[in-house]
Amino acid sequence: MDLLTFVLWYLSIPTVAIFVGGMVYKVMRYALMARILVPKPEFRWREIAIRKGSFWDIGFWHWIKELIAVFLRPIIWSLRVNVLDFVGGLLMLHILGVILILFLVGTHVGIWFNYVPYLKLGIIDLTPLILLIEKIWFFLCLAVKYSTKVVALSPWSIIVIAGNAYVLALCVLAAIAYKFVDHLIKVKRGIINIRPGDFAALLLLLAVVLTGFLTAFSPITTPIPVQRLLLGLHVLFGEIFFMTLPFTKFSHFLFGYWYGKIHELYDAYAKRGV
Amino acid sequence: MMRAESKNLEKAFWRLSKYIESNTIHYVENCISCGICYEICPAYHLDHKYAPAPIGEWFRRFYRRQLNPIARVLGKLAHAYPLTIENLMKAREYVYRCTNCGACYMVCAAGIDSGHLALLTKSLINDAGLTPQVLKTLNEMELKMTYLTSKVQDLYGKLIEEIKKIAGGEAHINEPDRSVYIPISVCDLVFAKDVIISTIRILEKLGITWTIPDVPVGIRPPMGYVIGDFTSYAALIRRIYLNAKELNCRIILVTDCGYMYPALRFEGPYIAEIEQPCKILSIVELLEDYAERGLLHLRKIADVATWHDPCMLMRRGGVEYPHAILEESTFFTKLKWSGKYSRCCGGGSHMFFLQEEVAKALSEVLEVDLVKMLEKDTFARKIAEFGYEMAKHRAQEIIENGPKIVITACTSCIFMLRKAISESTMPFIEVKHLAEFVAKNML
Repeated sequence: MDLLTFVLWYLSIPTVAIFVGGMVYKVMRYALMARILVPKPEFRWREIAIRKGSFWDIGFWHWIKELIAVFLRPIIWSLRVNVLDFVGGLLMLHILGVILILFLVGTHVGIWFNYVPYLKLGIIDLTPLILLIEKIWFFLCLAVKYSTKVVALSPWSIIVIAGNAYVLALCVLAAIAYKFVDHLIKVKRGIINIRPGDFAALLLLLAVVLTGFLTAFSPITTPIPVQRLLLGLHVLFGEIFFMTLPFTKFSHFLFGYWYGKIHELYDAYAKRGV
Repeated sequence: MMRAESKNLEKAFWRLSKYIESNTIHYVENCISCGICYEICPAYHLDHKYAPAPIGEWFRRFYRRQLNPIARVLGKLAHAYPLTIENLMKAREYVYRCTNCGACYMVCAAGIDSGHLALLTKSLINDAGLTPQVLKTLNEMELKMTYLTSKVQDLYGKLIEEIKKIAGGEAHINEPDRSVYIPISVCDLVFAKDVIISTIRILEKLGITWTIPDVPVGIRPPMGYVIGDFTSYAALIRRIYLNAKELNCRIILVTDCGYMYPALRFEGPYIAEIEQPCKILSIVELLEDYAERGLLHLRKIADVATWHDPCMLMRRGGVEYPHAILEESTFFTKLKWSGKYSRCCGGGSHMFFLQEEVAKALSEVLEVDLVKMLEKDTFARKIAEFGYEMAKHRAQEIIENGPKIVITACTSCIFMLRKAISESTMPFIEVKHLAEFVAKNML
């Protein structure tokens, strides 16, 4: 039994079990620690609602606008004061790197469908969305291929080039390197909140991306056992990433970030009226 | 000895655990060290070591040690630190540089309020007896009501006499069933007497009935908020709420923003576990409401004026600058860093009380030698200097905007900005409270 067989057929279920257990533990702690039975102040939105007549008079779109604002505010702030971090951290690592690679590269989409079959069939069916994205991608590629030189230099062609998995992987590798150096500089400056765990998390991410990159872009002449080893390592690191997800800083992507922003909407906007 | 000390400190942590709720866990666990919060923090601009994430990190370290079994085993590798005097001394260097202005909360990618973590750390520091003596003394005096010295009572008596002159011979002390209750504090008497007089003049003119307490309600309540003493914090909230309830007033009107407004308005019920007796309004909200409804008219002055957002009013209280008043009555100019992104004046939280002039003025009326305590305490003086440096930064931003008057609504903002501006290149810029401005220009 080689590594790939082991990680695919023996480690995948324990991985999902540990991940689910970890997430349940995390969410339950939040639910059990909530102080619900304490007196509450008069919330600002209630005050506004009373003045205007009812909750709905405040305006549904007003609430939607505020919801979007709490998500956008840090992004705009980052763009305003630290462009390098905006490009390295948000654009290259999160948007171009993680989100596109994780959810739109064909092989990954296949894995998602395999792990979570109801994405394909049943309650939530993402197939039309994936097909739509694929179709748009296809036409964009065609447009670039059969275009004149002028069109080839248009934003379309840039999107297609940037959307190439090869370029995306390079982006995420560069972004990890940026984050690593950034953390080192912060440690050197005496900033105390950078922990060994932050570096460990980045190294794990680097291992996942690097092995995935080598698997996908190794020459066709690479011997099969080497290919299987590379893919095995990629899946192994992916599974380690996945099972430790509820306990590392990466859980922000599933829980912390969303909880934080919804709480901010509740505390800063609905309660205080900021 | 060390073991016993550590056990006592751990007990303090467990006492504090009452206030560790799901949001606190979120603040502790979900910082991704992205660094977005650094640039907005006034402390970071003075020393790059003291940014919001590192300030909040100390509570995270203690929390991990107490409540995270894996981190407890891994120890310092997972940044889990035991509660010892030595570690709390190190933590003090960080959390006392935070003015709890809430700016980091506004821009944090994960919605983390590092100021709240600083407050919780201050609570542990206080239990370990490491709170600067000046603050500890003021807190104790406020809780035990020993601040009611003969000098304070004299000053209050004089204020009542002045109030009587503008209110037709009546001071309405503890009069029930009035609309507005004004919780006057010792800091109001010493630093903002004119604000109280102006407020009463405005209320009289607007025909709003008001009442005041028979003695000041505190030094600047709740002082417990400043040092993380939740017992004293809750006691003072209860004292003010019960006063207002007995008097059956409709509104508690807060003239000093400081931390008093958000503490009474938003945090009080959670901390003191008591229902709010009535509506709690800042003087800014009340006046703006009257101006918007066309019931308050002001003469237009020919000066360029600006508004400095007190952190506790804007970010912690949701009260925006009074558009209707300022844009109608002045040539209003907005500061570059205002609203949610406004910079702290450096007097937030404990910083105000550590300023030498404040300690001196309070010493005189409270009959306790705060100046001597400050002289002996090198840490407190260092922090006071840090706060003043923040004030100079903010003053410089104001000067660059070129106003003739800076209007705000907080005693510590007024004090810090006046001091910093008076020592700047533009010492003639006036810093005024909104109530004073309105009372002077009311038609």
